[in-house]
Amino acid sequence: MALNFQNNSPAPVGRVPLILTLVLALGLVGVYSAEGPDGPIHRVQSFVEGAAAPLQMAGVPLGEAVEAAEESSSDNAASEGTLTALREQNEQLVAQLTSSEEIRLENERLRGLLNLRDIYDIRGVAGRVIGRSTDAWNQDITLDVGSSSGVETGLTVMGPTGVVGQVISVSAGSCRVRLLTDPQSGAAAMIQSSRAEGIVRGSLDGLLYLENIGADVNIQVGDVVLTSGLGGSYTRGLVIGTVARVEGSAGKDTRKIVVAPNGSVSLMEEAIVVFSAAEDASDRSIPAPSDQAPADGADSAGEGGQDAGDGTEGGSGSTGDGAEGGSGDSGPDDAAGGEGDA
Amino acid sequence: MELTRETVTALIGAVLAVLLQIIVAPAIALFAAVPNFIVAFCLVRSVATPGHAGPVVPFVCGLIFDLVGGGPVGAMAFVLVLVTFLASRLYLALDNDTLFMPVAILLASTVLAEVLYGIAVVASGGGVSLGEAFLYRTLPCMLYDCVIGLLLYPIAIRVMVGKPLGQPGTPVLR
Repeated sequence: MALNFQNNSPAPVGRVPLILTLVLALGLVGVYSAEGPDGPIHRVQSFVEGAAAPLQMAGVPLGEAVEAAEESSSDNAASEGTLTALREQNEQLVAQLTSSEEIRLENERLRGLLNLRDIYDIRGVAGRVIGRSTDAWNQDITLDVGSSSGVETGLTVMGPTGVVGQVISVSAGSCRVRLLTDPQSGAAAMIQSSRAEGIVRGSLDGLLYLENIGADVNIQVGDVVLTSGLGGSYTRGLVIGTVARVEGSAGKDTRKIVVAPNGSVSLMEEAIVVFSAAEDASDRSIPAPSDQAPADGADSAGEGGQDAGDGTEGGSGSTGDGAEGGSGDSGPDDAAGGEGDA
Repeated sequence: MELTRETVTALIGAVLAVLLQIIVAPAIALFAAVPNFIVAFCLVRSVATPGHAGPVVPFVCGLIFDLVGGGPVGAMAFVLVLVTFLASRLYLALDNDTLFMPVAILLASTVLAEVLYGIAVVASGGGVSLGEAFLYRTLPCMLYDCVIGLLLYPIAIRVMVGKPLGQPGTPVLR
């Protein structure tokens, strides 16, 4: 391709405008560089930038569309090998996520236990739930801590948010805990606000009922129910739950008070066997009750009803009865004894 | 100012270039390379209408670019005025009515404009070395601008000049 050097007519562009614009531009650059951020050219620049902002915003949808198109194009262009690698990576990530979530949940549960432990100055041993009841008539769980860890029958067992039951039998490496919702259980309890005392019992319908409360006691939904410690069956001052419903009015012995357990037991995986707690535990702030409905009472735990009953009535309930029965052999036996006492 | 075809198309093209630069360019940026429609338009115009490509349109467009973009005010104006003048003069001197010459001049002037602007930015305190500026900004931007210039040139020839340039025996744009 040959170059054709021509003598075209001279451009009509004058030199004066050219020189003027060049000088002007250079002058602007010089002034711009010399002046500070508050200089006039900087201010003009800021003004123009602000004025152009609406126009720039008009390009946002376009930018999003371009981005979406790029992604779509990238996805469509992915090779089979890439897709296979991505699927494998996805599977690995899902596995990792599952593991992480498991650890997170466990951490959350343990943190709850520790919080409760701190609140009540609990001295005890934590155990993992390794078994649950095998029949429909008993609601109990098995923990992986036993007499070798200092666990004894009759000790209170707490979940992450409150009392769940009582140890009814112990072996060297495990213990069996009767849940509060077991119909055979019963715990001496009291209303935190009014200090009125009664017995929390489980039931077949899965609810916890607060019984033996004086007819003249005014009870409101939301009142916190604690273990009273009467009879020695349960450590005093530990939260059981909150009053969820009051059927009937004050002054009538027929009223039923439903207690919502302060936590779910069905999903509980760790628990603390309480050796002792602070003397003033009943006066300490408690964790906020969970959103468990009363119907979830079947999840809650409890045990040792018999001694609680003793305690409530005469204050002489013996943990020993329940403990002995519990440690004896089986729940039913213990429960029977307990019921008799109550 | 005489309202010729070149003048009107230059004004309309300048406005379109500025709007494209503000609205579209950020959306179609590839990595760090943002296309410069103003540079492409001014250089295409200087090659398409070399005899009428005065310094006013490049100066104003460059100044708007500087004011909107936040760079040193006057730098792009200076670069565009200088490079468009050189491009138009070079085209007037070397034009052989083939497609090669305008394209070559267009590409060379685009490279020169981006390099000069990069030097101006670095010199005015851009905070980067010249090598980095060239590698990570100037080079990709000049490539992008070259593509846009090549796309704009046939349109500019049709719109600004009105008839394809050429002579018998040489490739022409139709």
